[in-house]
Amino acid sequence: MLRRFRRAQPPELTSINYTPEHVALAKTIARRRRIVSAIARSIPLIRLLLVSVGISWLLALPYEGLWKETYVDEHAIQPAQVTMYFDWANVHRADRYLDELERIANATFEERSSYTASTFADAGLSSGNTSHATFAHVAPPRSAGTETILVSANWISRDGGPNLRGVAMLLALGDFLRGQNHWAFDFVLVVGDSYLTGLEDFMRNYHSLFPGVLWTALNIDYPGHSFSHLGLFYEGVNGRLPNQDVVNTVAHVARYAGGSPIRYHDVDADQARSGYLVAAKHLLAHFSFAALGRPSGAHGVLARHRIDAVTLYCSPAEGPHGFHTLGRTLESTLRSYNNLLERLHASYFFYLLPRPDRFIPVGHYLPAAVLLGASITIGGFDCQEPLAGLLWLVPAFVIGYIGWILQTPLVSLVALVLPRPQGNARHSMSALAHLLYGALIPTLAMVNFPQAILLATIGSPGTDIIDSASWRAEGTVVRDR
Amino acid sequence: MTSSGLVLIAGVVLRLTLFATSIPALLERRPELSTPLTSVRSLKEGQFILAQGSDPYAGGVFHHSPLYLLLPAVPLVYTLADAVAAATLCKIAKERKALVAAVYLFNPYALLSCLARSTTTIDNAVLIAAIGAAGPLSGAMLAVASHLSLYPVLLVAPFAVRSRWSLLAFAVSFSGMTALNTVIFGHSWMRASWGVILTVSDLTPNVGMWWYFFTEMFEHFRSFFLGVFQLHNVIYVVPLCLRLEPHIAILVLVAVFSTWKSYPTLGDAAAWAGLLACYPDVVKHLRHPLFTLTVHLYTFILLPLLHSLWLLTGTGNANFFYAATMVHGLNSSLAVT
Amino acid sequence: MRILLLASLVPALAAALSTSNSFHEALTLHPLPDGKLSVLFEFTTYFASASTGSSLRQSHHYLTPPSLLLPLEHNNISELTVSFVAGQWDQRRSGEAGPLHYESGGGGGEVRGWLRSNGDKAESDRAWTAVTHALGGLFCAGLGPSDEGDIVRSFGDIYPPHRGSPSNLTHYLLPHPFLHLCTENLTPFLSLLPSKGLSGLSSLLAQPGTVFSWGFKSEGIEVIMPDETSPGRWRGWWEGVVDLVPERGGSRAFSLERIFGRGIPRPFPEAETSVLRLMVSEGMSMEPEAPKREGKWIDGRYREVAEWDLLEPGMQGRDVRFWWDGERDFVHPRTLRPPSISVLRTVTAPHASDGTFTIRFSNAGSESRRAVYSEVWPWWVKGWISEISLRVDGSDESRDDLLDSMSYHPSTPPTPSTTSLHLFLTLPAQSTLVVSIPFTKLTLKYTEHRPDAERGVEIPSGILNLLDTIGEPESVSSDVPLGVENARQTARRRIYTNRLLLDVPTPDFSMPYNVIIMSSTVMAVFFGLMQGALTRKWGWVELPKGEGRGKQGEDEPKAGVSVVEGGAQLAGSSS
Repeated sequence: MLRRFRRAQPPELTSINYTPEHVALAKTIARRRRIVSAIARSIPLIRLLLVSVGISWLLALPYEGLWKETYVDEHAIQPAQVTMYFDWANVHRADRYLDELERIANATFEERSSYTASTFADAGLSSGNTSHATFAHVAPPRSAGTETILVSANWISRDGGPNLRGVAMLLALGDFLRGQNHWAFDFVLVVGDSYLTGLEDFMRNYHSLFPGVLWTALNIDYPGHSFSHLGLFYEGVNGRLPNQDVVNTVAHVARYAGGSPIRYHDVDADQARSGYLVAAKHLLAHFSFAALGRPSGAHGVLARHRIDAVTLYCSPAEGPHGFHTLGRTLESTLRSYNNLLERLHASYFFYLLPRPDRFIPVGHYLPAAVLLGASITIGGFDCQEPLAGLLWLVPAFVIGYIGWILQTPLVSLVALVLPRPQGNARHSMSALAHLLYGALIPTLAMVNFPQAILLATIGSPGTDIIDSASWRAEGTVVRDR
Repeated sequence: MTSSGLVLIAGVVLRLTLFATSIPALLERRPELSTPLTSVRSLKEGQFILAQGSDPYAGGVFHHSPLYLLLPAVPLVYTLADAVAAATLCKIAKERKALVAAVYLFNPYALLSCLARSTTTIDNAVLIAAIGAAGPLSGAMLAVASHLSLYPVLLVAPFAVRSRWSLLAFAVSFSGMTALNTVIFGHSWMRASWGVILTVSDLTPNVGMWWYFFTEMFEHFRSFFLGVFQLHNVIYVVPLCLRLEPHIAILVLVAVFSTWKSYPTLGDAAAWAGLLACYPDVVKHLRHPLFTLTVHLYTFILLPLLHSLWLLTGTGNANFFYAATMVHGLNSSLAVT
Repeated sequence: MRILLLASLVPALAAALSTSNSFHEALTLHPLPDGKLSVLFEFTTYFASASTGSSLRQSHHYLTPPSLLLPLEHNNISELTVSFVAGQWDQRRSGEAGPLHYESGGGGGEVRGWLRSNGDKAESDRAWTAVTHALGGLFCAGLGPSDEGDIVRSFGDIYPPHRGSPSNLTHYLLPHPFLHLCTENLTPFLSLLPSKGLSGLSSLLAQPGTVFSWGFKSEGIEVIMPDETSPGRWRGWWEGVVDLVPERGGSRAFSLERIFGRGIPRPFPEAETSVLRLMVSEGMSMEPEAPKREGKWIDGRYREVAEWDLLEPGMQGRDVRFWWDGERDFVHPRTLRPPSISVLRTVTAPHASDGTFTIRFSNAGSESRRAVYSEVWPWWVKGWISEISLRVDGSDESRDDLLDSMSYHPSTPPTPSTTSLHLFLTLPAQSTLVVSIPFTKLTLKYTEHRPDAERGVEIPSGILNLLDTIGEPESVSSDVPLGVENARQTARRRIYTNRLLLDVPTPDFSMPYNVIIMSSTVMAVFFGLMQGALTRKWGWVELPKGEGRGKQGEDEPKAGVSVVEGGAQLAGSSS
């Protein structure tokens, strides 16, 4: 911009001096132009190349080469190093609570809530309820009340059935925690109504009820009679993941302190099948939750409040584990959480878990999204009339905004009846749309990788089709002229 | 003139309608649009404390110029400021006036700044009015603009080249306003408003390069780097005035300090984008406008995203937001050159 | 109210005047409704003024600790209170607004006192800092101010002096809400006592293994220095809350042996009085029976207090047992009666950089109360005073009429200083007043963060100072029935909220070098581009013809651009 204007006159059009630099310069400019035009000609090829590298990177994710071994990064956690006091007497209590719960399983929320509240109160805890959740507050003797750990068990399990054993476990835990003076955190035990709504309702009210900050949480989901594996579900709302230390701590504790093996998403990883397929299954399960932003367990609603949490899902089986294993796992995990002096910040927040004990760090999976995004962006560089294109994009944004207000994507059907642009304006609009979409993919991938991949895979072929169709139309129009 | 008048009315109507929705409440606290020096929240706090009879600058949150204490922070004032700025731009531009007004009024940076009731809107209006005025009036308006946010004082040189009288008017108005403010409000305002601009004592994140730099800085080097950063803005004044015609020098200087001032906002970028639109010859020869626009789009998305990632969700790191500000700054710099 | 307090002090001091040095100890047991027991040790020493008639300045310390009193005397202290509180006091479950000893401070450590000043502020500040550092040497190192700005000077009305008038005294407050400051060490406290933990009630206390497993500890000293007319008094207290219900359930029956592991210790020879008190709750029985039982107004309720004199010859070594008649298994009460005033402070809408303090004042009594609520914030917490809102729970209408006035002493960022805010409130009867104060956290520099920066920083407790209490009369006509309540008949003037932990947004601490080089690079790139653009010479270049699709020649203006650009490449270097 600055180069255009000087006080002096612009150089004379006829005053070319043929020095050797001039010749060299001319060659440089010519070569540069050749390269640029070559690239411009082969943009579709470049796009294809980027897309294929991106997709093959994605397909390479279940391959072991991209993985690293997990480790607990926060030194304070010291998982599975404590003596556990949860024992058969507590299991007996849990069984008694379970009998009571089975009787009131189909009662109204008020009745169930009053039962749980009074059970907690009998254990010496202050309890209360919000409109969709019952809670109890454990204040251990030596805690200052400034930090709190949340443990929840909702009435409905993620299977859709009742989570009675989960609630019984929580009641037994409340009884167990009273009187122990080695806890530095307060505990809030929440029994939320239905699957997610109860816990979400509680979280909305939490800050008016309690002063403690919540750093970590656990959710118990125990639908069946016994369990053979502890499944860990870690995806939150909008694909937010907890700090990886939470997942690794629970995995470590469950194996060494509780004694039960771990699974992610209840995917069976035991059979000695091809590691690639198992990893792909894990990743697909993760994608199926995160791509649409669905939480994979009730802990997901806690992600919005900066709480790192996972759901312990006891996959139903005839298997050997029950309240005892779960109780000890819970106790040891809570003891590890109890050691924390700072909010979890050491380990990764963005990761993919292809298998228990392995993870894929950001740097190893993000380039796939960046390549896909770049392939779309490159398609948008040839924009002749940016202003016209922008004008045609405005209705799209308006529709999107209305759809966001009304919370429905069906509003986009309106786009079918709107007038379409023609010719250069159409091409410019498509180019700008490419640029915008291509900008969206890598930025979204930083926050929610599966969702970005989903949008990229829908968008890429879609835009390619539109592109080629429009170019063909352009070609015919140009030739006709 | 009528088409630009229509554009003006459309811009005003758009702003007034959007003020009636809930969008402004979402925007008021965004750091990209308002800094501690320009946010409406601290303005209202300062006015409240003044109404209670105490020194508004003693609270430590109020860094606005004392002139703002008299300003009612209502949406209409900000809308009018934008309208005045657009009208002045029309006056500066010689052709395509409607387009110029539209570029300023519908620039998302300017629009969102106005909705956020960031005083950048008013700063811009006064600055553009100063540029668009002639003779002594421009000097006086430049003095007002310098009072509101210190950096327009760098424009004294090209203004002086443009018209000798503006220099005199500037000196007189500036010292007059300073004296008046000191008489009414005492001495505390200078340290709280200009002092903060010069010494960067409030490190709230914004889209500039300065805050993270001085957050991570050790005490030992602070004054040195403060000097370097402030000097960086000053050194371009003389060469630009020597090399370029005054109106282009003003344009470039505005671009320079919009990017490199201690507390920039996106609204500052809107000011020089609007000025740029007034000179179509310059626009025609922009080297890579599309690239710049694209990167602006990227940073427009990235900045609030990464800011919330850091401060709302707590998963990201301050580095991400910082990197985005780097990109934004670099991009603006490239656009300037 | 102040007059009443002094009036109640006069008899005690009159008694003390008769003996210039005397030591009194008391152990008070207060069973709480939820199966817990509050245990309060109080050790009070009255001592005469140090000034004697002789020309040499002498300090005679018989029962008093010179390590404590000499620094206070040297620095012109008139009154001093040090308090360490660990754990949290549960107002709802205990039915009391705070611990039994009213001078306990908020959570963490706290030093406050009145200095005799002669008008020189710098001199007073220096004396105060010297005192706190001396106390730090006694108790634990963090007790002094880490910076001059940490000292709070606006709380003189909240803690009125027991003696003298505020006109020639200066008040200082130094809160340390940090985790576990000094609360885990009995030795400094015991070493100040004349009995040193070896005999008397202090030997019951001197069992760290036992007492530190209890919840809620409050430990502190309060010193009133002697002046010309009256002797001085220093009192040390230690209060803890022990859970009486066994882990697997059972009855609450307890005894001194069960709690302390030993019976009544041998008395401290110099103790003038040594008593064991029990605040009798319904259905309690004790063995041996108390020789003295009287009614007393304690904290708004008329209670029965049973007292044993531990100096009696037959008491040494005996165990005192308490139980509730007919109680086999203690059943935790389903509903607990809250105290007449309780306060809860939380942070709602917590983002990393913003939030709102929400303080709920519950007045369960039948009259409206007047009180001052005070808060102390570090310099980087900026409350938005224009946005303070009040409402009564259950309705959305704004009740600004309940805020009579406000006193605001803001901090001066970025220098370390504190903000203190005093709100003069009216608490309406039978309702909960909700006060919301939005705030912003300013960004801290790299060097201002604490070592474990991701933890956040603790904020001191808020203090609710009741203005309309009428004190606890010593003796009362005996026809007042036990259990009757009058919320204003209490000597507890201050109710503390819990501490809060505020997240602080942190920069990346590994980045200073990278940040400097990246920012500098961007600046240098910009500078280079600008300098290049300003110092170029332009010329024309003719492109070779027939170069594929490259535009060429001078006849198209666009070509002129690129051609000149090539020329400029050369010209730029030669300028």
